[in-house]
Amino acid sequence: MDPNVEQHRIQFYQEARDILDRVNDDILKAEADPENQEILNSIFRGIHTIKGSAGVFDMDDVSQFTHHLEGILNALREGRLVLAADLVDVVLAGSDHINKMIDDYSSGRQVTINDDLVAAFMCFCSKVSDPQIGADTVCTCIEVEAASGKAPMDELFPEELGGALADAARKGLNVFKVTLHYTSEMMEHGYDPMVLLRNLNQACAHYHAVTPSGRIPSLGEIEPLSLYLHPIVYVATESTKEEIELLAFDSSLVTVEALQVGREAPAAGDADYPADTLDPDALKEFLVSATETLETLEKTVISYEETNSRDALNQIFRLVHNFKGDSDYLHFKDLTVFAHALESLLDRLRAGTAPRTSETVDVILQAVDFLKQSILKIARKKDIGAFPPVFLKLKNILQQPAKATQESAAPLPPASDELGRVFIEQALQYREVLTTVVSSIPLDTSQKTMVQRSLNGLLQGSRLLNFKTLEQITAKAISALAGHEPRILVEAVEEVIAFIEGIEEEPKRIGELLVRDGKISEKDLKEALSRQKPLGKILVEEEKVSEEDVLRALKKQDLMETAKQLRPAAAAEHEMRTMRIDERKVEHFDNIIGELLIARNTYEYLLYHLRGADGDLRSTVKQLKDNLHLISRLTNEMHHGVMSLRMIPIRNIFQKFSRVARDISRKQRKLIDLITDGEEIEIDKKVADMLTDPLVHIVRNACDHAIEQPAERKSAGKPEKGTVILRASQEGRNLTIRIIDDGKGIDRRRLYEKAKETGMNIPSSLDDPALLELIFVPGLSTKREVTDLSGRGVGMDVVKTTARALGGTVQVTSEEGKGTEITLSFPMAMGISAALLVEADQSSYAIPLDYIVETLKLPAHKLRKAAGSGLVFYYRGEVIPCRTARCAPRSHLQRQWWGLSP
Amino acid sequence: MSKTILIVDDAMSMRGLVAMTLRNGGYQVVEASDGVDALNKIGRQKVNMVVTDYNMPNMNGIELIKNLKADPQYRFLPIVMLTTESEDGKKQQGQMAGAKAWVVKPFKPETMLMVVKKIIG
Repeated sequence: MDPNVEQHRIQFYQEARDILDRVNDDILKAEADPENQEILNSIFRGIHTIKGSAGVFDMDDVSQFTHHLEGILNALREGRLVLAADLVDVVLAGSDHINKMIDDYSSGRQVTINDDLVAAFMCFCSKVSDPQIGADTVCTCIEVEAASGKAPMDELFPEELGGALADAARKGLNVFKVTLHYTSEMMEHGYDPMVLLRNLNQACAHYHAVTPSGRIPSLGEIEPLSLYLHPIVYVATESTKEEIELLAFDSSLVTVEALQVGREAPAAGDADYPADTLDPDALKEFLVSATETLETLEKTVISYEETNSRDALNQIFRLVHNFKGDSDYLHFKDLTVFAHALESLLDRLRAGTAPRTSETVDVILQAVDFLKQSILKIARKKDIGAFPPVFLKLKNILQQPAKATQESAAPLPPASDELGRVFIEQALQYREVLTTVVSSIPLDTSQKTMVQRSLNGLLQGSRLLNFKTLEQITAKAISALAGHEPRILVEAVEEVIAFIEGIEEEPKRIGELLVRDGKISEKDLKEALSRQKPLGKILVEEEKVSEEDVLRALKKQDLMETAKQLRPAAAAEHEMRTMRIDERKVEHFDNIIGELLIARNTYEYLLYHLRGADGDLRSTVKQLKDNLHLISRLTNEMHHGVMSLRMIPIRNIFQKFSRVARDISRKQRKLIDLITDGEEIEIDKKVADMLTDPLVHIVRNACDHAIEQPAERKSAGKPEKGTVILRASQEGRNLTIRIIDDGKGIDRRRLYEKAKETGMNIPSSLDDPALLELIFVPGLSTKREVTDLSGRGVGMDVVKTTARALGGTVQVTSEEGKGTEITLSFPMAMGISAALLVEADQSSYAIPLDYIVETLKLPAHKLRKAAGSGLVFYYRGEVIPCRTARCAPRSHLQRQWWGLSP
Repeated sequence: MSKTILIVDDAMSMRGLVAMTLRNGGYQVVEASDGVDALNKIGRQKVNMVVTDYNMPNMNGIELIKNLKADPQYRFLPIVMLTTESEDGKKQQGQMAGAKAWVVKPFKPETMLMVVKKIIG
């Protein structure tokens, strides 16, 4: 195909994937909200679009297959089909299949249509025309996973699977074969194998299910709550065997066997780096966002090390989690695996089952480093390469048995993130069931079964997570159900519902939770809060509440946080308030505005010429004037607005330095405190980019050379911890950045001598302040040894050239033994500069306002001739030299001389 | 001076394809992602013809045609519909609403260009 069309075809692949993602989301939403016609229309439209476009791009099999799915969706939106769970399954399976077909096309593989799925679609179509079949019978053709369809029992290892698993094993993932032992009775007790399979899918980097085609009875004989399919799942994952077993709520339900996979070469066309078939826009977005995320991550980790704050840890976790999600979405499998390992470590930290030491923080920072480098490599379309040694360190920490450290002497097993999520999803489902059913007491048989399933499920879940309260009320409800006591049942169920809803609320503080659950009184809460200790501890000490209650409330808080994370709405609100802007768009904007301003200025010139005209034109002139005022105001506003789009707070650059300072202080065993001031000041992005390198260099210098070892500092009478201050301030029209350290100052003598050696021109005395300017000379360094960081004499001249390039200056002051201060100063205003238009003798001159100190009008006689051929005049007690603006005196009309101060 | 055609379709790849075909034929192209976007774009610049899909969110193709025909400024703006084979009924609807012609997807570039040339030259 014509290469231009190829580009659109690739666009279509991405488009189709986006549509299918939306369809997936929408069908689940529709299941929860079946009356919503708009969602059904939207789903139909999406599939219809794919069908149409596929045909245009010669993807006929996709078109055909999609046609069947489209038929069902059309029937659905026209109300001829009821949206039951089995229909949802089929739609999801269909959408997955389309996705696979598109993947096959985009990587040049052979495309196959899953005939079973097509048969399933037909099944539904025939249901439409045969209304006798009830809406909750299960369609025979449903497959648990759209594997290549007909895998017979003994074909355990389809070839591609073997390759993929071997690859994964190479990278250090664990490969397991998971066999499910669910039975039909278990379905009645609320055990849903689909939940396990979905969670398994999410938790594992690779997931492949093989469904032996067992005997499935015909439609009329199927029982709704009977299990007919027993899939075997092959996974490759970071998790351990125990963690996988935990996903099933009851480890007797699964058998997890580790597999030894042969070391084969990776399958050709491995989709690990599909950077070429990716939508370039999505990739770009990912790179930009990943870079930002990693920078913030670094800073937060350092802050966490200092403060040990739980919030910081949570934020770090969320950042890594988001990063992992993004890289997974773009199919960067290696990156995802690595990020997952990091995430697991962070999870352990949160739960208190991994040691909180500097080593751990080091490991985390090194991991972040690797991620940063990987992003850079991806941007250059290079291979990420093998995992660095820090990966092994990560795994080591993770493989240690999860034992609690001292900080969190929790007698209760920590609710890990995965488990919490699974529990919440199920709990919400059960709550729906219970709410609808409870309103129709007395219950008939099928309703009773549903309630029983839900309550059993909740009971299991609460036992696992050790929620004794929930366990109790659920048990109460179950016995009320069995004993046919409708009143108690209703009460108990309502309590259960209230509990679940309680978790769904905004995460509450401990005190509020304890008060709300009736464990303490408001007064106790207030008293305790007025002191500094953590609330829970105080209450326990005062024996107002038991330690257990506090720990439980803490766990509930955790769970509520997790529930909150599951809700996208709140997060979306906050995210909307900031925007990432493409630099090129802003530049374009800039140019337009520039021209607009010039056009506006032309106005004034025109008006000037019209002024002499007669009455009729005068009113026009007035209108023109008014319009000019309006345009002026508007354009000024726009100008300021656009300029500010490019401004970023200095904080963004200062962020990088905390890492620099920390690294040096660790390496050289010094204690350095980096203080920043004036972070909110905003500067133009270009300026910020230019400033980064020189500033980093200065800070490095300060940490590396200026700040002394703690022992040395102590003997000099200074505090052991060295201080480096980064201060930004606005002074007049200039932005000033000062780097101040309390180190040992610049050694003047050595500088003098070094300069003398090189035979440069030097000031005569050691005390001359100009001596310090020598540090900016390239190649001049007083350091005897060169460290890998500095000392080569290269950095400081870059500082000076940058300052000059920005139209500013850099200055140094230093006092030996006390410290050094480097001051960078440059004008803040950028953009269009105003100029004074001057006409002299039929020539026009435009003089930039920045160069004009003052304008005066002088009568000609005030000018005197001075020695030589110059002219001067007296002004405010000074003699000021003068130059004429014209080459030769020609006209004798009013002469005006403009005085220009040098 | 070359003519400008507005192409309206919510699928980016399809839009791109039609735009490419039209540009190869020497026309200028403006793109819109649905009916509402189309009306905005028409309001902002001169457009000699509109080629629109039917199946779009916010405002579908037929509604767009009706809206344009109801506006005295754009009453004579020629509109061509892009439809799929199964949407036979839509062709009639489109014609009744005022569409000048239709092109069925998948289309050959020559067909599209021929239709456009016949209408605006």
